Amino acid sequence: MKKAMTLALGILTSVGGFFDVGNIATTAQAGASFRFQLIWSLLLATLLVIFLVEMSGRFAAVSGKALPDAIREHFGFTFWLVPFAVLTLIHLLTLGAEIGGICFALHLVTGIPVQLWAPVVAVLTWFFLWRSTFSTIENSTSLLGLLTLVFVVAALLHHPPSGEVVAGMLPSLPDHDPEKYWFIAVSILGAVIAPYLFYFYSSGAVEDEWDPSYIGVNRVVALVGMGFGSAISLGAIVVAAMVLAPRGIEVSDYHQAALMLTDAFPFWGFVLFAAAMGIACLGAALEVALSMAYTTAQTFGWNWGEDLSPREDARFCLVYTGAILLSALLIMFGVDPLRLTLLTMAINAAALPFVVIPFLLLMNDGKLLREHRNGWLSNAVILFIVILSFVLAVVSIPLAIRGGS
Amino acid sequence: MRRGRQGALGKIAMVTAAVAFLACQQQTPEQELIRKTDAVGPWLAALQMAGEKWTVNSVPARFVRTSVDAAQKAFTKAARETGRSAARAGLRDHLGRLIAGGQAESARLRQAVAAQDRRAAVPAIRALAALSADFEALSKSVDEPSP
Repeated sequence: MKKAMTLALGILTSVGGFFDVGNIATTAQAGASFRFQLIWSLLLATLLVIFLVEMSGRFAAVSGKALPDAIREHFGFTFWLVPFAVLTLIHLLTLGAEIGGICFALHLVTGIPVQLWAPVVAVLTWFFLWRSTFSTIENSTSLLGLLTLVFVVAALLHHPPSGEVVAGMLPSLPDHDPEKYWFIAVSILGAVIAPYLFYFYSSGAVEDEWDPSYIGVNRVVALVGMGFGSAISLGAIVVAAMVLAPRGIEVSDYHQAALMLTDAFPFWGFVLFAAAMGIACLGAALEVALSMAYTTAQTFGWNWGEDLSPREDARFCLVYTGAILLSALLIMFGVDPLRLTLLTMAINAAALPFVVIPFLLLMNDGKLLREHRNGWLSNAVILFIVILSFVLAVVSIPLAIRGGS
Repeated sequence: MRRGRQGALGKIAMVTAAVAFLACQQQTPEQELIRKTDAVGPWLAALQMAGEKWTVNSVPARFVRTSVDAAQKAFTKAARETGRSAARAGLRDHLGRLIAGGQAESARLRQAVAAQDRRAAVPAIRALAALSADFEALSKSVDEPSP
């Protein structure tokens, strides 16, 4: 009965927690600029994230350890320093983007400038983390995040041309703006395969005290949760393609994306967009801040756990406090939230080899994982997508910056 | 085995270099100007849609106002790029008129919204639609190679 509850809750929270600022920005841009042509990128990313999340949960269930902890122990502190530095940078940028997303959602509703919201959002996010337990954070924000399913409903209401949607599932070359096309493709990969996600997932599994009996539950949660979660992103691409693209509206600012739902829901569309964006970004901001604290505490061997009181893991709390402050400063000093998001998502894709390969090495250790170690299929799929993402990111990021995309 | 791996890496490097080379191909000053001002068209279309949605109560007035403010920043940047460009004078003048039109019509929309005057917003919305179509045609004419 407990397993069934864990399974149901896990699927719901995976679906609700899937969508974040990176998904909103990249899918809106993809649909608005290239209609259904970039769906392949989302599918590729979803395949990889299913594999990575499943591996991450399996590792925690079998070894009882979170990833940073295990990589440091297994390969040594010096080896772990490079992935740790990369992860720290990614965490700070992603947290800045998520805080920017919450601020923009509040700006939509109130009209108050984004920069002014940043300190308020930072304090609220910090307060939530300071006062809550892990399960409260995981369940409340992710269940509220189910509101993002509104993109799926809107997509269905628009009756998209199924032939074109299916054709978009196969990679194709763009007929205009190739720099932008590849940059958005990479950003979608980076948004879905956010490195913090599977590091966070392993720490969460340890917090929830998973053991090998959870391997089946983990597999179903990864497959069904992430699969349905990506349906929300697919819905957002379809809505942008049906609403924004025919009008010639490309998304260079969140104001343009905010119009997406107003055709499907004339009265509530605008409010639904703001609410979905705010909730999705709040959930992700809490997860990213926690993930940064987990990674740092595990790297230096400190006490960690969201369920401990701040007195018991003061340094863990200090890390998320500092991370929230630094990331909020980016928005307070006027960094454009959309540009920050897109660049961060592309950097996520470029950073994948640094954070995935140590994890992959660990997953192939027979002594540690015994019969639960990776098979050749998992290794091949992950290596292929990671190398592809890296090559695309290395080529497209400088081109996009040069072109001002 | 080692040679095979080097060969594969070499192929990846060659494909990467080819993609980078193709993407870096030189553009004419006219194409470069259109690329640097490509935010103008989507903003004209977005303001048109925001105005239309406001007239039917789908979006609040403050959203139209903040959208106009964001668009004005993009228009100012585009006007600066147009002034600096080495593109032919005809294109610069045409684009300059479009941007000035966008600035004027979006300001008119903002005023109508601030006054809650839906009737006054309609001509501004129509003008934004015409400017948006004009910008799209201009972009296409520059992108298409001359016969």
